[in-house]
Amino acid sequence: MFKTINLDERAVSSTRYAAAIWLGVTQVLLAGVVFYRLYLLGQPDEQIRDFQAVLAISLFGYIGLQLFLGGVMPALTWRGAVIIWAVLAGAIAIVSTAVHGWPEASEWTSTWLPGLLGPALLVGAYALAAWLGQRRIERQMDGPDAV
Amino acid sequence: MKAPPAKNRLKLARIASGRTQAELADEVGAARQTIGLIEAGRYNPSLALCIKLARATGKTLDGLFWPGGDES
Repeated sequence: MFKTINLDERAVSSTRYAAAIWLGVTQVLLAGVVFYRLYLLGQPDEQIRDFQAVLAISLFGYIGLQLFLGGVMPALTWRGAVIIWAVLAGAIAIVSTAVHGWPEASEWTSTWLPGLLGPALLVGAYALAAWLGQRRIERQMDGPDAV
Repeated sequence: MKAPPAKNRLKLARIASGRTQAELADEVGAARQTIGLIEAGRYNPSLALCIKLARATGKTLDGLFWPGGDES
């Protein structure tokens, strides 16, 4: 009665293609919601934290997974990671100070901490994903099933 | 014999083996549409699927997919 459908490599490929396109569309729409609520409706930052969190998880999860599965991005040395972190943190500090002025020492949890910790988390996450991705590919190449 | 202008000789090999697209598709675990697209030169199959197709039709990879490849 029912015909068997062979979900072959082309079907899998087109499914992944569709998923990637609509992930991008969803992320753009979500970013649009965030900007609309922030700048057109004038809602306070606290009211869109959930949207921002979902958008951030989606973006960074996607990029991280791509880095991991691709396994071709260069892994960072400690020295390289520290230099990139210093450049990012420095750039954030310069721009933030130029816009908002020198921060009060008592406000360090909302100024210095995110300014220093944010780039560190970014660089650390990149380094971890790139290193794990490279290690995964190397293991596949040298694994017991390799010919 | 001169090679056909198509990008591969899967269609000729399939017809020579007396199979329909659906039969060949079932044999190699692919969709009939995929076989049709490969025959039309509109889809590049993976090496794994190429090998399955070559085995199913009794041809070599060269014979099926290499331009001017052997006709065995």
